[in-house]
Parts: sequence; C-alpha cells; structure tokens
Amino acid sequence: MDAVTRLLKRDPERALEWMLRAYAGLVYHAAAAILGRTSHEEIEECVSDAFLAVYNNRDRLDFSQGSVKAYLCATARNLAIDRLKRQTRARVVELDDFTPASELTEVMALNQIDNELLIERVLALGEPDSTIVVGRYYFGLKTKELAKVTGLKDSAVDQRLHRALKKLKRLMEGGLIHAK
Amino acid sequence: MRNERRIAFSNLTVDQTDRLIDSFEALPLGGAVNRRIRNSVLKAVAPRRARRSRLIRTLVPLAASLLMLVMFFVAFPKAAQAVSDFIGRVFTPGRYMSEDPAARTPVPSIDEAIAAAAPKDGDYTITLMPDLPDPQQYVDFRAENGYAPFSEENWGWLREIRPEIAEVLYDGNQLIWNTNLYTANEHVREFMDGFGDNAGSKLSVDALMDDVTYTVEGDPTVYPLQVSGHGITPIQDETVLAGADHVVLYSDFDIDPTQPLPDGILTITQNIRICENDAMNYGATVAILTHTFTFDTTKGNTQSAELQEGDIPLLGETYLTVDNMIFAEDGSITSWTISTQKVSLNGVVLHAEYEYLPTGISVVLTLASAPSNWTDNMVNALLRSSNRSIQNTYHKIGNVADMYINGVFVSEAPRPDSWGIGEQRYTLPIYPDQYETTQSVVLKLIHVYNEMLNGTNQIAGEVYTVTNGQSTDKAQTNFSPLVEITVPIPKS
Repeated sequence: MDAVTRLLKRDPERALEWMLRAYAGLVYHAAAAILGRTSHEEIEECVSDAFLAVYNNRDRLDFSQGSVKAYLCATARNLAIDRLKRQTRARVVELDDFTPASELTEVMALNQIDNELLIERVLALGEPDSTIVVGRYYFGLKTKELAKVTGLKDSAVDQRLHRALKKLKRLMEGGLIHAK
Repeated sequence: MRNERRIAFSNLTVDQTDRLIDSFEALPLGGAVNRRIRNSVLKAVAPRRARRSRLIRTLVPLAASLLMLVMFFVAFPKAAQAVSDFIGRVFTPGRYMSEDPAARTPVPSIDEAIAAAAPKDGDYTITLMPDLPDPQQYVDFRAENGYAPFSEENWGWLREIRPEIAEVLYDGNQLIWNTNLYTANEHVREFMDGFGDNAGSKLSVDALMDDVTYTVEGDPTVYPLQVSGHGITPIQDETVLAGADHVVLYSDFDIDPTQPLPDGILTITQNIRICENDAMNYGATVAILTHTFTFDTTKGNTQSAELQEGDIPLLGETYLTVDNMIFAEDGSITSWTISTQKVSLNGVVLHAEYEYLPTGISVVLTLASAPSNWTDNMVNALLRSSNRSIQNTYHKIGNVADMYINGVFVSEAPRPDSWGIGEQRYTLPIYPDQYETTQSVVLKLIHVYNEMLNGTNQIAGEVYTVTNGQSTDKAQTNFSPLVEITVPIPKS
C-alpha cells in the first residue's frame, strides 16, 4: 500500500488534497480522451466525480488490486464512457483509427482476455514506444504533448507511434494465433 | 463537440489500468481547470452537510428577516429592486460561448464583455499540404496509413475557406473565442463528418487549433498562448445544418493569473490545422490556415474596476478550535488532537482581494500577517468555512460569512470553495450592471468554535485525541463575531 493510500485511510481530507495536486492532470486526460477536449464541463464533472467516488468509497475499495491513481483514472474513464454512450451522436472509435476496419481493430474486442493481451503487447513495445501508445490512446495526448512527455521531437513521436502501431499489430496477430 | 473522441483500452480493470499507466506519474493541467476541479471536489466533500441544507439555510434567515425586508423595501423601492436582481443569474462562460448567439439566453455583463473585446479580422492565408514545410512527412504518413494521396481535386476547395473571428470573451481571467470558417454547405457537412469512423471513399475533415501567438503594439516580442480546449462545434439540428454556410471552431486558453494579458489591442495569430478525418492526426494535415485578428483587452482587464485589495486587521479575542496534526515523512498522521483555546487577534491581519468580473465579484481572504506565536494549524483554524443549520445553529467550526447588500441580509456569501488550507473564497452574485444600484456590500464573518467535543470540555482546556484518523464529532459549538468586511463596489 503506497503512502497516499495509507493517508486516504487515515486522513482522507488531507489525502484528497494530495490526490488533487498529484493526479488531477492524469485523471483529466483519461476522461478527455473519451469525451473530447472541447467537452470541458463534462470532463471536469467526470474528473470531479471520480475523485469524489474514490474519496467516498475509500473504505470499500480494495487497494491491493490497484493504486489510488489507477482507481481514479479507471473511474473517470468509466464515467466518461457512460456519458458518451448517452449521447445520441456518439461514435465509437477503436484503438487504431489509422487503419480503418483493420484486423487490429477487430483484435481490440472489449473483453478481459484481449485487454490482458493488449496490455502485455503494449508494454512489450518498450520505452518510449509504450509510453507514446498509452499516452496517445489512453490519455489522448497530442503529438506535441507526447513530445514533451518523452523528450522527443514531434516528427519522431509521429514516426515512433506509427511504427509502434504496426509492430503492435504484428504482435497482436501473433498473440491471436498463440491464443488459438 | 466531438473532436478527439475515441475509446481505446476500454473496460480495463483497476489492476490492468495500474499496469498500463504505471509510467505516467503526472500530466500537466491548466491552472484554471485545476482550480475549478479542485474547488468543485472540495466543495462537494467538505461542506456536505452545508450543501444539503443550503436552500434551507438561505430560506430560514430570509424568513427571519422577512418583516425587516418588507419594511425596508416599502421604504426604499430602489434597494428592493437592487437586492432582487442579485438572485438567479447563473452562467458558464464556456457553455455560453458554445451556444448559438442568436439562440442563447443573454447575460448582459457577458455580452458587454464580448462587445468590449471588439475583434477585427486581419489577413489570412491558407497553405495546402504540398506547400507546407517538409511536405514529405505528410506524404509518407498518408502512404503508410491508408490515406489516399493528396490531390488538388479532393482538397483544392480548402483555399476557398474564409475565416472570420466571431466572438471573443475576455474578462481578465478567461479567454475564449470562436472562429467561423465559411465554406460551401457540402464542406460544412464534411466537417460534421470529421473525426473517426467513416471509413471508405467519403472525405471528411476536421480542424483544431495549432500554435497561437499574440503581439502587442510597440513590442516586438511574440508571446505564445496555451490553448486549453478547442474543436469544431457540432451542428446537431439537421435543419440548421442544411442551411449552414460555416462551421465554428471554438477555442479557449489558459491565462496565468500572475501574467494577465496586457492592456490594449492584441494581434492574435492563430494557426488552424485542417486535417483529413481527425485533426488529432498531425500527419493527416491537408492545410494550415493562418489567420490574424485583433481584439481589445482593455475592458476585460479593467472590467468595471481594477482588482482591489486591502488588509483587514482583526481585533480583540476569539476562541479558536485547532486541529493539531503531526505528520510522518510518508504523509501519515502520527498524532492528531483537537483543542479550543482563547487567542488574541491583535496583530492578526487578513488580506482581501476583490476582482470585478462579469461572473461576479470574487473575494479571496488569506492571512497577511500574524504574531510569531501563531502556528499553521491556528491559521487553518481561523480560515475555514462553517455553515448555519436550519435551526440557526452551527455544527462545524470555522467562519460563516453573511452577505448584506444595501444593509439588508441576503444570504450567506455563496461558494466558499476552500477549507482548512488557509484561505477563503467567495463569489458574490453582483454583476457590473448592478454596481450603480448597489450602495453597499458587507460580509459579516462570525467564527464558530467547539465548547464541547465528544465529551471533552474544550472551553475548559480539555483536549480531544483523534484515534485511527476517525472522529465522530458530537460537538457543542458557540460563536462570536470575527470581522466585518466592506466590499468595495465600483462606481462610474
């Protein structure tokens, strides 16, 4: 159990202050990646609700399963997805929108087994590629933001991202064969 | 708005999320957004009891003052009008600017701020992909990612786009503008189809803000502006879409409160990136639209009055209920006691900042100075929020700020956004068009303290020890006046 989790158990108000300072940016981007960056109010509501949910349910959450950071991001994304589903014009786009109707898109079937495989493969890309892919597709970061996070040039981020996606696709195909 | 919408890595468990985002410790977030989220969360958590009883708290004192109000209003009808005007104006700048100006409910002070910005279009250029620097990167991207090669036939129409600055809202704290991009209706529809899932031969297009800078007359420096939110505003109504001759690119920007925009005419240069399908894909860029316009920050920076500030010395004595916490290095609490002590306020000085915004008057109270024997815990105890219950009692230690307008009690000052961290914030619902009819605004702070707490006689010096970070407070409180703050109201 990390320090903030212990603090959340023992001194929730102080922990909340700490969480807001440390994780507001992460949680915001996690929700914004779903809702789109122009939906400010909806994003902020999701982020606020995520903090409140973790804070209010601190005694019921099993922090051995994941960190406070993970609970916050997962909650914010779920709240954002719920909102998106309620929007009549919502459209769902899977991981690889560079290759429409690709096999890769099919691989991203939304179930736990495939998520496990996906996470394994993404992390297997190594740094900085895994950070670029997660930053782009989990946090919705733009090229320039990814460049700041990774210290690479914009063009290098683009190139690495595209190469990583191709590599990921190959890895996923291998994974599927292996899974069968 | 729907730019940048995607679902990837959905349905992850917390454990999966943990592994996936392990390398991300923090991501930047604009100061204004950060503050809004923080305030929203803290307000929801700390004064939960207060929130539930907010309406009642407001109504009961109003009922108690009804006779006085009636007599006052009969005697002073102008004051009655002034006070009644304070109720019910609520708006959100971002939402306001995202609505069609012809259809939204007008808020005079916002409309005045928009009018005062007086934007004027300057030049613009549209550079198609082949003429952009390093076009090969886009050619490669398209080839590698399933896009058709760039062609004049498909994208030549972009040259005909005409940008026009539609509205600018700047109030010293927030900067939002809408840019209309005029084009043929068929291309408006292609913008509406932009982003995402329309695979196939049909073209779609999207736009986002790229680099944005400003210059000030007489200063050669080019200053960057950090875009916070941006995207094409969707047109939901099919009838409206059928007649649409433009799309609206909404954009808002982070303004560092310590570095407000300078007064005067700013020349903005906005680079709008137009991409096939999804403007998040840098490589899918088909054109860059560079558009300059000017707007006037003067009114926004001086909306009705300059920021005012002042020191407020406290006098006399008060009881103060203090949380004495001792923390370990990992942030855990090793000791937590609660006690009430009588303290002298002589030498304690509060600092007040007043900002006159179209959104209301912002009042921020912090500690300016205190005698050397005052600890941080004492300061936090002095500057935290309490609330009045339906029975006109107080269950929580801290301050209650009663707002009097023109000598009449209206309500507790709304939106105290912080607690226990050494500052108090109020946003008073008094708008610029009401300044002239407002004779006085006074915040009367009373301070609530514990006399008894969980069986300990606090007023007699007994100390309550919190165990395991939990405290089910059964408190008997009392209160005393702390200070009266006269909020300066600008007059023309």
